[in-house]
Amino acid sequence: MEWRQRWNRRLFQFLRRRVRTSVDVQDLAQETYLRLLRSRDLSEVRNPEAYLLQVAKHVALEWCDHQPRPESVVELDEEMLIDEHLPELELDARISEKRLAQTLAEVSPTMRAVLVLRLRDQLSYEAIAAELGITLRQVRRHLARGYERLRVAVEG
Amino acid sequence: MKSENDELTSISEQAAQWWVVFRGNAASAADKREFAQWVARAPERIEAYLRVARVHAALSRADLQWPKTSAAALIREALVAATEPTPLRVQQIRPERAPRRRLPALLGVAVMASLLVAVGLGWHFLSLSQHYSTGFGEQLSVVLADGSRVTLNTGSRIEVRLRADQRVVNLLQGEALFEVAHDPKRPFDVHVGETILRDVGTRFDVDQRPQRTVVTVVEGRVAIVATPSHAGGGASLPELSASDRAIIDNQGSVKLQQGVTEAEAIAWMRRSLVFHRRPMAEVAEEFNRYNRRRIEIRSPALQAQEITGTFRSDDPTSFLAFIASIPGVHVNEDGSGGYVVTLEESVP
Repeated sequence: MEWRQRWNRRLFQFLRRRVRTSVDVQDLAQETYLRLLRSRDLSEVRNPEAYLLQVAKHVALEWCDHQPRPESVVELDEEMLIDEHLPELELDARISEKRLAQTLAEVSPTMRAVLVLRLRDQLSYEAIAAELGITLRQVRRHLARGYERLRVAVEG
Repeated sequence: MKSENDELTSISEQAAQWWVVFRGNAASAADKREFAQWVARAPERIEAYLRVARVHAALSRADLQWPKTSAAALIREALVAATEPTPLRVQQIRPERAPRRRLPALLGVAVMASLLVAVGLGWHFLSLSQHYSTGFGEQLSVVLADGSRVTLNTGSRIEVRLRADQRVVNLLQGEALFEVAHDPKRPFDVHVGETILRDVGTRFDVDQRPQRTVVTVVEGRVAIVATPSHAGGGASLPELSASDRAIIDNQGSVKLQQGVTEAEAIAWMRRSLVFHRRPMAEVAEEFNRYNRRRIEIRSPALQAQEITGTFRSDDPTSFLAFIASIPGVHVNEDGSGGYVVTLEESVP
């Protein structure tokens, strides 16, 4: 039993070191931009938004395989490794429970309701608008501003 | 999308706006074209967009612990907050319609679920009186047929009788904020036990406690028409104007307090408790109105200790954390869900 445990730990440490490598968003954006310039005009793509994310994801994956950048550090949980979950853009994306609760407590009750109903409860924009008696446009606005608040919390 | 981006917003705010548009499943062909032009202009925009994507990923993690507040509670808080400064969306109850049938059409399902418990609607055709009540920790706002609005705080009960010549609300229990529609031909009277308040188009709060009734005028004027000691009324009873507060005890004596701010008077609508140099025993009593987990201040010295601060009424832990930071103060669970606050006797 003991050797198995030791072996598992070694394997875990190895994998952890390997996927610890994260992608710097600024570098990723530069490379994505260059690739978009080299390939086709974004406006000719049917869904430029999805295409952009696809290119960025592709670059991130390439970098994780070939270009370890030890300066950026991420915490990954064991579960991700066991599932062989590929670290993509969400590689270094984490927000602590405390930070999240703190940020939600700071925003207006309406923004808090919009954010939680959307991101936790996964309600549609239309359903949120109906529940809160506000317009779709207001829902989008609260969400966008909420993302901005949460970005600050994530990036610390 | 264009109009939302035209404002002076930062690149990262614009990125968040685009992200929201594309997650809504209603992005038009024009949106896509515009986005392509927007994003291709500079790598900074791609970076901003990828940052939003990363935030979204962080928030979508299955292992992320979100606050446990129920959707119904969040919706209710948002609706209550909407009362200030813009009007609250409330149910409109007209006497000619059966209220039980009107309600579902006017309220979201989740709000409905929480209000069903709160609203005890009585409908007596002979007296045309209506009853409204709120349970523990609940609040409710109703617009009466005359256009006046009554907002009930936690654990409150009112009876409303609207007649051609008179409007009478009986505050049977708890606290209510009255926003009275102006109608010189029909005075609006609030009865609190033997005390009668008369209003002519204003906003005022009435808080009924076991030992006293507190009337705070936010706007306009309110006359005290009768008290337990002045049943027939009289010139000696004061008239209150904006920012005045009258504390009427059970014997009918009236104490006046001036300069009460609007924020202080109706803070409860925003679920906040505002205290300015109030004894800790009173502060704890306030928290206990809203929360099942009771706070008991044991030491007399602590009970009298004055406190100034603003707290969320549904978050007694912030208050407990605050007092626990005072040297010598201990906060312990009492074993039945409440908290006991004691002072170390041997504090030098």
